[in-house]
Amino acid sequence: MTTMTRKKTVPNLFWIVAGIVGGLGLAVALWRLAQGLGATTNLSDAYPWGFWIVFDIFLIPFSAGAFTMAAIANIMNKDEYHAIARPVILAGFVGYASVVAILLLDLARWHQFYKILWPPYWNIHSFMLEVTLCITLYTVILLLELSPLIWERFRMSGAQRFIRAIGAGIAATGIVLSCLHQTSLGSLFLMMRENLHALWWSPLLPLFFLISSVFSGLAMIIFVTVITARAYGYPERVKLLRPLAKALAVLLIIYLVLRLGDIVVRGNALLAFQSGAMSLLFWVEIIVGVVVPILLFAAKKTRESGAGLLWGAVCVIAGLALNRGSVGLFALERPAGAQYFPSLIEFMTAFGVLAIAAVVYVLVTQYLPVNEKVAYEPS
Amino acid sequence: MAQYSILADVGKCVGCHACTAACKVKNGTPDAVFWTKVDTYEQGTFPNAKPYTAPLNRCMHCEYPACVSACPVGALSKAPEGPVTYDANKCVGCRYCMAACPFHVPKLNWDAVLPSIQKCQMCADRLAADLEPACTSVCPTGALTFGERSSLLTEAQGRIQAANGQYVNHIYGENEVGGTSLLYVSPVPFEQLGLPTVGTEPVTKLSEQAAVLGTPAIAAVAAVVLGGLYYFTKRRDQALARSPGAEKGEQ
Repeated sequence: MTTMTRKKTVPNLFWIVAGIVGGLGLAVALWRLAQGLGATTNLSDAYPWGFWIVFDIFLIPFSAGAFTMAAIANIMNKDEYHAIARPVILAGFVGYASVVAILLLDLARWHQFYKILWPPYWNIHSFMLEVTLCITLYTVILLLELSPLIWERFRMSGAQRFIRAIGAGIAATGIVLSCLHQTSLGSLFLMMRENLHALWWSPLLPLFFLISSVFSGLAMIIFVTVITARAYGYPERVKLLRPLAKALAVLLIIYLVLRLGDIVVRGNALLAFQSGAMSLLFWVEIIVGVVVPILLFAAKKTRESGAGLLWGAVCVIAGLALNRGSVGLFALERPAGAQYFPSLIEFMTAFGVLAIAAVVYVLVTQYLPVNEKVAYEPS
Repeated sequence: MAQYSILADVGKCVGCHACTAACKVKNGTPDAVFWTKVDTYEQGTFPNAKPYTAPLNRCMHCEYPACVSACPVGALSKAPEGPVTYDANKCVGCRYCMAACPFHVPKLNWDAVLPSIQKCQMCADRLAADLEPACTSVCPTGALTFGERSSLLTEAQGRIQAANGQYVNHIYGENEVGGTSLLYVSPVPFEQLGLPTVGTEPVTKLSEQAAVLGTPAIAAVAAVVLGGLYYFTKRRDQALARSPGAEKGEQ
């Protein structure tokens, strides 16, 4: 039934690097909570949001691989994808857990964070509220989707059967929550009509954020699957990625048409060439993150090679990072003369959280049946 | 209920800083934090540069405030009389209000371990006691005038006319982002004062419509699409499974 095919293990160097980066990150995170934002970050009145927010609005669509995977495997009933679902959902979970950690560190008045979870305080007009609630709930959903790892490992068949029975329901709830918070992340910036550069601000921002989360999620599935296939030795899994790459190309084309069409329709086409550094930023994002991967994934030759898939996915992820960086930081109007570069502590906490996430990912993969071929019986 | 406003007349400001001091005394704001502050600007180029002063960098008290709409926990609220007020006991410090404000008004006292949002409250507590805000009560020249919004609009129009073309023919705040409770008249173009050119539609409109109508719509559409896909693919797979020798559905 289960085949123990752990062909390779993680090198010691990983543990040393991740341990140091994670440990230091944890230490400076506590320092930040004790000292306040002003003493530890380079944020200011002109830059109330900085690196951490960009980190969050990037990592959330990056981790969307988990919900895209759930949609493919559980809703579209493509059972063959259950083989690669678990590493992807695990990656999604550590991604969301990282987002929650960084969000908490980013709260100036973190001692009152619980008020955002407490209904009497809720302002239903606020997309910050919707994003926070959806992310919190969705992290719990991901935990439930991963719980069979525990039930299988410790042979708790009752719990196993129960989770399997409600599996499609959990997946569906997770997908609805994901659609909500991925669009809400874009809606956060709807109010910044006057501040956000017209190459990025659009009434369609929620739609752009949703579509880009789905294609970034597919890119993340490709990325995680190719990497784990190489690291742990499952070359056969890469074949499963070809239809996903095809779907990714289609989504990228739709996104490209919508983005450019929206700019033209709103009469901002000239801005794409006359805005100096902003124009450059825009075209790098569009070419690296959208056009190049369309070409890579549309060509059969690159789509069917592991390296081609990996490069395409890396381009999409880089384009996503540029897009979210622009919307959350670079393309927002500032008072004259204001400057911002993240402090060492901002970098250290973010990379520390990622290192801890990587350690958790590897530990769970090694000690729980993440990569084992589970006999999945479609109900 | 009367709706109050403050009229700021840049042409009447003599730069005495009485409003700055009165505000600090009344509100006890932290070091280096000002809820209202008189700034000095230069108009023209040397040697013909003319200095002028203006009580700027203060909350506009929007009719449709972005900060209030943005705040996830209701720490900011708009009173019907005009003031947009802040309650630090509710605030989690997400700073969405700072990012959302079209005038870059809300500030944070960054030096504090647990900072709070810093912005003018239009002395809402004084208003409740039938007193005018501290800053307007001490202004010696009428550069800051407190009153009902409708009468201040008439007053502002009168001052523009009395200036014989010396003033910009526009009341800043009358219609900006849906109207504000702070109104500016000025001999200097507003952009030079750091007051941005903004549209007249409230910035909150699209966002609030999306929140109230879009959210349930997305949830409903997502649920229906998911349910449809689930039953469609399930039935297709079952049909394929029944036909002899059939392979699983490939894309």
